[in-house]
Amino acid sequence: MAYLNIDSVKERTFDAIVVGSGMSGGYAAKELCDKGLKTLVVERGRNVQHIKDYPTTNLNPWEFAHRGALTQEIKEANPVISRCYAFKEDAMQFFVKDAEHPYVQEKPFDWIRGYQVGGKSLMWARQTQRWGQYDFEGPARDGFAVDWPIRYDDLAPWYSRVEKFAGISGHADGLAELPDGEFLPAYPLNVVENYFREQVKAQYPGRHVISARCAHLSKPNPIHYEQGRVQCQNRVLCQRGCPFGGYFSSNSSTIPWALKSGHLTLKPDLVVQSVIYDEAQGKATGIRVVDAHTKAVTEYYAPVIFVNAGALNTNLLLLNSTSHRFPQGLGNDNGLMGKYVAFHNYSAHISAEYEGFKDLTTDGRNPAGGGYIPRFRNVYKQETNFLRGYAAGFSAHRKLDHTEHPIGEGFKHSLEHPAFGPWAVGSHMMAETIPKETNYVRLDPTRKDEWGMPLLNISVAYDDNDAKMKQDYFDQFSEMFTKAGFTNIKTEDSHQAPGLDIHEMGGVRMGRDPKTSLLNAASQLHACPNVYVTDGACMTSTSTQNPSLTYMALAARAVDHAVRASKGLA
Amino acid sequence: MLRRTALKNLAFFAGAATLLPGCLADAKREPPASIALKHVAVSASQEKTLAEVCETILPKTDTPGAKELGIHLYVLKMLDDCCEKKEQQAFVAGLGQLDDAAQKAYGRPFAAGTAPQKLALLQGLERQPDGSSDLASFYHSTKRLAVGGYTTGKYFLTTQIVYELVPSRYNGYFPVSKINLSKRRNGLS
Repeated sequence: MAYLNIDSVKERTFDAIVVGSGMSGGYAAKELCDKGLKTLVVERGRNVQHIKDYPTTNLNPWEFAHRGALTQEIKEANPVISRCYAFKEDAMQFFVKDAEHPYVQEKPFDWIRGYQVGGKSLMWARQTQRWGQYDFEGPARDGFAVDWPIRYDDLAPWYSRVEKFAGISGHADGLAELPDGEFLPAYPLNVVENYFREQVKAQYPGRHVISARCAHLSKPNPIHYEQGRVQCQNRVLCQRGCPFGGYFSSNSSTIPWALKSGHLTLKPDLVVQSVIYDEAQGKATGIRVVDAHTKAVTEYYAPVIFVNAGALNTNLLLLNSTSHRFPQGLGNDNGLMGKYVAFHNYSAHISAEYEGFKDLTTDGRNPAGGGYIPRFRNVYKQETNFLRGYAAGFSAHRKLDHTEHPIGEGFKHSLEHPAFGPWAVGSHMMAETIPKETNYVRLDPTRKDEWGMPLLNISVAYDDNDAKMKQDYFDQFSEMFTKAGFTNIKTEDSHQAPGLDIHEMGGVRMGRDPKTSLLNAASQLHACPNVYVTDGACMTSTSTQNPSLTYMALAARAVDHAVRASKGLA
Repeated sequence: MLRRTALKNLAFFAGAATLLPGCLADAKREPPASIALKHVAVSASQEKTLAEVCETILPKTDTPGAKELGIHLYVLKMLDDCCEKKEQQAFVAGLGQLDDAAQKAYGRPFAAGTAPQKLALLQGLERQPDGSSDLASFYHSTKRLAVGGYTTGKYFLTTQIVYELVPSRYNGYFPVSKINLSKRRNGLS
C-alpha cells in the first residue's frame, strides 16, 4: 500500500485548501486561483452549478404546486427553517431542513443554513455596505469585546477590489459613517422614498435616507461580462438562482471564475471533520474529510488553509480540531474560541401609509429593495442609554385596493380592475449586538451527527441593551414617520429568536492580543498562522452593516497576505 | 370547449396529488371528491357544493367563473396540503352544515338555490367574523383560498393582470394615468 500512497498523497496535496464555498470561501478561492495557487475547495453540500441547477428559476406563479406556499407537512417537520423569509416553495431546495443537520439550542436560536456549493450566497438578500472607521473603532471606544486589530483604511482597498469584481450598485453619498465604494449606478429611490429622504434631511440633521447598496449589476462592466453575467433584469426572484447572473453569488461569479483559471479543484459532498495539526512542524498540514454519502475518510494537504465554513460551522470545525498541542481546539490556547458570538437584531418593523403622491406609482421591480438609513445613534460619541445603534431599511410601494364589493360580480371585477390605494411604507431595524462571553457555541459533549461531528450547542440571547435599542428604534421611527405625515403607523416586534437575522458572527474573533483573541490582524490564527479565517467567525464586533461584503474584503486581504507570506514577504 | 380547458387545468392538480383516496372519516360512504385528499374528507357531492360556493364568490362574467377554472379544486388542494388541522376541521364541519343553512334560508340544498339566493346566504356569512362559527370559518377559508387561486392562476396572470417574469425595468415615478393594470402586473407581484 505504501507505494500507492505516495502517488495518492501527491494527488491530495494542493497549494491551498479552502473549507467552504459560500460567500467568503468562494471569494478566497477566486483570489487564490488568480494568484496561480493550485487550490482545493471542499464543500459539505452538493454541487449547485450556475443556471443548470436552478430548477425553479423560470417558473411562473401558477406553475408551483402550491403557488409558492409551504405545505403544512413541511412546516411541521421544519419549524426552524420555515421561519426564514426565503424558505418558500420556490427556493426551499437550497436550505437545510431541520432534521437533516440537528443542533442543540441551549437557548432559542434559529440556525439558517444552506449546504451546497455557493452556500447562502445563492439566496442572500444582497445588501452590501462597507464598514466605516466608527465601526472598527467601536469596541475600543465603548469598552466591549476587544479592539479590532485593523481599521477602515486597512480594508478600504480590499473593499474596492471586491466591489469591482462582484458588482455593487450604489450612490456616492459622501457620508463619513458609511464610506462610498466602487459603485455601479444606484437603483434610485421612488417618489415616496425620496419624499421621506427630504423630510428626514430637513428635520433630522445627521440622518440620511440613501439608495440601498446591493450586489446587482445595474450596469455591468467588462469584468462582469467576462464572468458570464449580464445586467440585472429586475425579476427580484433572486433566491431561486438567477439565469442572468444579475446578482453576485459564488455560483454565478467566483466559483466559475476560479474553475476557468484551471487552478481550482472543487469537491462537493465532503464534510471536513478537522484541520490536521502537525506537532513536529508546528503548523497545520491539511484537513480530514468524510464523504457525505459513503462516509469514507480521506485527508488533503496544503501549506495554507482557509477556514470559511460559515460562522458557526467554522467554530465547530476548529473546536473539533484537537491535538496534543491544542486540546481545546486549533489555536484555542486562551479558551475563548466559540465565545463572544453576536448577531444582528432584526426583530423590529414599522409600517404606515401615506396619502400623498396619488398620481404616481412604481413600474417594474427594484432589486435594491428601496432605501437604507445608516446608523445615526452614537456615531461620533455616546449619546443614548444604550451602546451602539441600528441601521434601517425603508421602502414604499403603492397598495392595490379591491375591497369595494365583498363577494360576487362586483368583487371579481375589482380583483381584475383594482383601484390604487395609498402608499404603503415600511422600515425594518438592523441593530448591532454586543458580543459577550455568555453568548457562545460549544461542542456537545456526547452527541455526534452521522458524519462523526459533534453537535453544536448554541447559547445565544438578546440582552437589555438590545431591548433599549429596539425601543429607541420604535420611538425614533414613529416620530420620523409622524413628522413626514405618514398615518396608520404600526410598530411590530416579531420576538424572533437570534439567528433568524442570518448574521451570526464571532467565536474566532480578530484582535491584537493572543491572550484575548484567536486571529491576528492578517486573519491568521495567532497560534497556527498558516490557518486563516475570513468568514463570520472572525468578527470582533458586528456593527450594523450587512456583513458579506466585509467577509469578502477580509478574504481577499488574507489571500494577499498568505501569498506574500509564502514568498517570505509578510 | 371551455370545460375542456378547465379539465386540462385540473390535470395539473390531479397529477401533483398523491394516491391516497379521500376516504378518511365521515363522508357517509358517498363517492369521494375527484382529487385525492390526504387530510380532509370531502365527498363528491360536497365538492359540487363547494364549486357552487366558489362560483358565487367569483361568478362567470365576461371572464370565466370559478367553476370553469376549477378554483374549487384549488381550494381543496390548498386546504388539504397547506392549512392547519384546525382550519381543515372547521372547513369540513362548515361545509357539512351549508345545506342545512340553505334549507333554512330557502328550503333547498345550497346548490339548488337560485344565484340570488346563494349570494344572499354567503353575504350573510361574509358579515360573520372568521372563526365565529364553523360555517363562517368555512366561508372565509373558501373565499381566501378561492381569491388566491384566481389571482395567482394562469388565466388571471396571463389575461387579466399580466405577470411579468422578466420586467427589465424599474421606474419609481410612474404616472398612475399611464398604468393599465389589466395589461401589466406592474411589479406588484
